[in-house]
Parts: sequence; C-alpha cells; structure tokens
Amino acid sequence: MCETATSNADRFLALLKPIERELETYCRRLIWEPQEAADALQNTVMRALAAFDRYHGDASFRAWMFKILTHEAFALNRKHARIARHEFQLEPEELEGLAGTGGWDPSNSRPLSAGAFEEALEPALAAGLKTLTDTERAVLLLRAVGELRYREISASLEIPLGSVMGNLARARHKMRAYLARAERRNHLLKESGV
Amino acid sequence: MKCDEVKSMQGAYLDSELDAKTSLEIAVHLRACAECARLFAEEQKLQARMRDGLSQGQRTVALWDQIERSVIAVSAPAARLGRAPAAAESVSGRTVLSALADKIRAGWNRSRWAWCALATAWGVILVLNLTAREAEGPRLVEKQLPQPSEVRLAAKQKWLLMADLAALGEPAPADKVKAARPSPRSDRRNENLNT
Repeated sequence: MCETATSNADRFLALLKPIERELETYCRRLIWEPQEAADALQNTVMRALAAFDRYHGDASFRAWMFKILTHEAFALNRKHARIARHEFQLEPEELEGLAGTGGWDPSNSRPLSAGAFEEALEPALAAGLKTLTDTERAVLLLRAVGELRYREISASLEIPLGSVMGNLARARHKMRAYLARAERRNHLLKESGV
Repeated sequence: MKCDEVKSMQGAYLDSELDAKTSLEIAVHLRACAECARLFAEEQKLQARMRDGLSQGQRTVALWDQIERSVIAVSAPAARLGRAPAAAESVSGRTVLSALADKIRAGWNRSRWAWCALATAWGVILVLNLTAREAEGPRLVEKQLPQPSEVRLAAKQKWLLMADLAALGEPAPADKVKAARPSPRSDRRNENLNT
C-alpha cells in the first residue's frame, strides 16, 4: 500500500515534469493578475493529484492538466472581473502601454515567482491578447502554447468543436488586426523620427 | 474547390485539422491560385509569429520545486499511515470493497488493544443490564396488570349499574316540549296588526 501511494505520486510527477513550462506559460498568459499565477498553478497541481484516479491512461495528460488549469484561471479571472472590464474599456494605445509596464515584474512579485520566469512576450502580442474574451484567449493559447488538437481544446473547455473553430478564427482575426495597427503606428513613429 | 471555400478552411488547414482528401484538394487549389497561395502564406507567417511569441517563457525553478515538494508531502502521510490516496487505489485496479477491507485491517492493526478494551466494556454493560431487568421485571407486572377475576367483577358491577339506571329512567329531556315565551317585540307587532 505504501509503495502504491509513493509510486502514484512518482507517476504523477513523471507525467507533470515535461509539461511544466507549457503550463506555466499558458497560465501567465491566461490569467489577469500575474501575481496569482503561482497560486493558480499550485492549486491546479493539487486538484489534479487529488483527482488522479479519474484520469485514464489512454487520455492525454497534457489536455487533462490544461483543462484543470483553465478552470482555475477562469475562476481567478472572474474574481477580478471588474479589473478585466476596466482593461477592455481602454484604448489600444493604452493597452500597449500597460503591456509594456504592467507585465510580470520580479521586484513586485512574491519571492516564489520572482525567480526565473521571464516576460518575453512582445508588447504588441501582450496587448493584443487583452482585447480577446476569456474563451477566445484560452482557445488561442491552448492551440499556440499547449499545441492541443481542436478536439482536445473542445474537451478541455467543454465547448462544441464548432465553437472552438469559431473562437479561434475570431481570436486570430482580432490579433491580426491589432498587430497590423501596431505595426502601422510604429512605422509612422519611425517616419516622423520619434 | 472555389476560393471562398478554401479561405473558409484556412485555419483548419494550417492547423492540420482537415482530413487527407480535403487537405489535398486545398493544396491542389493553392498550386493553381496565386492569390489564395499568397493569403495562406501570409496567414502562416502570422500564426508562426504568434505561436513563437506566445509560447516563449521559462519554467520557474523555485515555483515547480515547491509544487513538487507539496505533491510528495501530500502523498507521504498517506503512505506512512498505510493508506494510499484515492488515486492510487483506482489506478492499481482495486475495488472499493477491498480498499475498505484494507482500511479496516489497518485500523485493527493500529489499535488492536483499544478495540479489545472497548468490546469488554460493552460486554460488562450488557450483562449488568440483563441482570437488573430480571430482578425488577415480575414486580412491575404484578403491580400494573389487574387479575382476570377483578376484571370480571368490575364488568359485572358496571352491567348492574346500567340496568338500575334503565329501570329508574325518566323520559329524555328531548321528549318534553317547552312552550316558547312570546317576546315583547312580537306582542307589539300583534298589537299593531290588530289596530
């Protein structure tokens, strides 16, 4: 019995280790409050361990973990819904400014998360992400970061396959439009010599 | 396949989500249509940029070390107590009944003497209770229940009393007709009528 419990934890950790980076990246992109990413990840792993008996070996562990993490991140985002609404009301220029200054800052963060994570996302992409709804953002990130198939995204978010395709198309369209605007603005700024 | 149809499947095609036949049809169309090929190439470049940008990021070593330590800490007490977490039981294919039997066995092994003492105490209480009932039981029965002869006597007395009452019997109050006394108002009304 003792061996079973230990080997179960070992098996869980062996499955978790290869996807830790992707989980963390996804979490930091999806969550509104960067300081809460560490808590979200910790809660996700503990929930997954508690429910490990419901995980079937034939299913994708990656998709299963992303599903639990998405629920956790959405719950935290709902908690900060007022802040999220406020961010949606800002102009794209202000959003880009926010993305440049309001990203994850090691000096402001708690000691645990202050270590190694590096906010490498280019400001235009970060600002563009903020113009998406929670579902659009989750679908886009599950595809880009998690590299999940459409069917896995559908199962993770518990939405129909058609909705996955629709949300992904909308998310890409919004991102494309935002990046094009950002590039035009940068081009104009360069031309004017600012 | 027409351009509109091909464009509507652009995302799924670039994500390799289409079946082989449709993918081949789109590939053939792209070879023939320069405009669609240009749009697809642009979209592919944009998606690559988004994918590369969004998936950048490092694993925070301190954070994951702490999470992994928590996982081990949560699993270790269960192992020490001789019970695995629910996850382990299911994964190893154990049934609920066998898991329950294991838990009972583990509990018995842990506190065998305590269970023995508890069982002895219950036994003593049961014996004392039984002996107390035997001493007091008959007396209570004698005191509360009347003898059959007493019951018969009481029934006889009651029957005689009923017979006496029937012999003396007066007519029931309902048989007597009482004349109603005229009210002063009806007298006045009669007087008015006469006049």
